[in-house]
Amino acid sequence: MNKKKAIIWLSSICVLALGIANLFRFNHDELEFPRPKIYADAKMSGIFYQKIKKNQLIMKLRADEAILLKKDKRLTARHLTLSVLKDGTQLAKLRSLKGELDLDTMDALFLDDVRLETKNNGVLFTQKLRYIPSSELLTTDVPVIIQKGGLKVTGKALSYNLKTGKMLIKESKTFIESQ
Amino acid sequence: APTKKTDESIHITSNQMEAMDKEGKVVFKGNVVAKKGGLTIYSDVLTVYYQSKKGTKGKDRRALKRLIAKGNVRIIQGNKTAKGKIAIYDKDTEVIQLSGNAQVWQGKNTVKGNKITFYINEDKSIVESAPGKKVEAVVFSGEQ
Repeated sequence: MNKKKAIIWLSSICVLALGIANLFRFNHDELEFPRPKIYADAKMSGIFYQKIKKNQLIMKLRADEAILLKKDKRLTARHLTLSVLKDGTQLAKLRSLKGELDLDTMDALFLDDVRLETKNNGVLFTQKLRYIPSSELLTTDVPVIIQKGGLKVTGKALSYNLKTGKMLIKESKTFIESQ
Repeated sequence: APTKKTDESIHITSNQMEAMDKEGKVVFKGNVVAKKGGLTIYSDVLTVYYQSKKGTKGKDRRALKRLIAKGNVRIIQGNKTAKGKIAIYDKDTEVIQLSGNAQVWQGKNTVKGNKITFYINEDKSIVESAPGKKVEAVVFSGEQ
């Protein structure tokens, strides 16, 4: 008699377990793959942001769409344009498909189809470019192409000081057009 | 001699390139190879001086003024090879001045001097000795 009772108990527990498992079967994503969720503090579109310092406009940022992550103090954006100005002159204008802005340091990272135009008619193309406002430096460790007034340069990495105008390119190939 | 029009565009490769806009120069460092038409210059460092000119449509254009090659300088043009410490190429005159134990070969023939000046468009070169020294030339008879 006991044996019978034990079997009945066992089977009912199995049925119960199956039932519970079925319950969770539809959102197994939560159960099996708990992906980290990015809690956006704010999602914006059609952004226009200006930074003024000592009554001087030093930066303008436009973006189709941006997500503010307060905890990380970060702003991620899509289709953005950043202009850097000094004493009313535009030092550089940068465009890319994706970008990230560190709201503490204002360091910016530009990704995908990055295009930089400098005040002396130089144009730079790359897929990744970092802008460090504290030292007015632009750097990248991926290939770049630069075109400027009859000069074309390709290289594997670059650092460009907007203040001094000094540009350093690794493994460069330069083509100087005939004049 | 009629001035020969050479291909004017210049190709330069190097380990590193440093552009200094304010000073109007670009410095190439490490395994530098500069090619212009049939002329090739190898060196450790090459500095390109340019000036900004107004090109077509009023756009800024960089016009090459001068190239200075330093360190293990080798210049090859056709069957001529030259070696020295410093080479200065002037765009307007199309002249290269090679100095610092300068030596030029053509086949097995060779000439050594303190300074060798190449007139690129005229296929002519002049070898000068240091004060109190002589130019040294070794010419093989019947050498093509």
